[in-house]
Amino acid sequence: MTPSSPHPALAARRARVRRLRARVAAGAIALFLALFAGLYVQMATGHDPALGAGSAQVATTSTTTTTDDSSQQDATPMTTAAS
Amino acid sequence: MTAAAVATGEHLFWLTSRAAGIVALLASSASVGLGLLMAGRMLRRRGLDLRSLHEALSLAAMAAIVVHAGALVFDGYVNLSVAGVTIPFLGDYRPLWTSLGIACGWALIALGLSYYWRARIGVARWRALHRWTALVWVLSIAHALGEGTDAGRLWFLASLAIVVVPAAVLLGLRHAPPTPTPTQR
Repeated sequence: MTPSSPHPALAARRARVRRLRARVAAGAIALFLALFAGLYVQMATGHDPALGAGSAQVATTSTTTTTDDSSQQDATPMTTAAS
Repeated sequence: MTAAAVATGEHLFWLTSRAAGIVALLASSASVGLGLLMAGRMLRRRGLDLRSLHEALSLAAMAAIVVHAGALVFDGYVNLSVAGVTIPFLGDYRPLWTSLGIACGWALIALGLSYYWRARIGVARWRALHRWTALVWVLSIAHALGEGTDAGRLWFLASLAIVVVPAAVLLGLRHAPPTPTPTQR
């Protein structure tokens, strides 16, 4: 047996570990994409906990309230978070 | 493009950070739970598979932590610097909770990666060090509940409870004082 070809049992074990890692990585990516999509929809429909009444309203009001600088500071998305 | 789409597009990195933070929390909770099951010898499956799964979940959690912090750097709205997401007490936004999260992130990555240097550290010393992961995990849950944008949401609390409660029970059992066995007369 050459040094480059490991014992079949060891090779099988490594393959099993690789499969397991790939499954966990795929699961984590799938979970991330599902969460991202859910949060995106939540924000787009105006149900985001931080932006409250809707991101569209934040986008429009930020262009109309240009005279009051102090009120614009409250437009930061996380200032009303986790209530 | 609609106004809602424009506004949502502005927050893509922030959404990325939130989603990655939740993945990190769920993966680390599952990893801690599995680690406690292994430590208590409560599972009878092949040790290699369990250890590999524990390791893979830890690596997934570490990657998610990096994305969670890294995405905030690119978010134009919160406008955090690299130093702001990597060095505690440097940012202005909720300094206590953010700093706790930064410290937990570094600690989880350091404790997780220490596995690959356990031969150099010494297995006994590494095991003693590895037990601190549970404390860091508890503190990271506090960070998520204290600062997380979705912390008040039922879906978030329910999904968190599914992985956190079993791990917390196992942690409690592991650190509970041993009950005296009745002696035979």
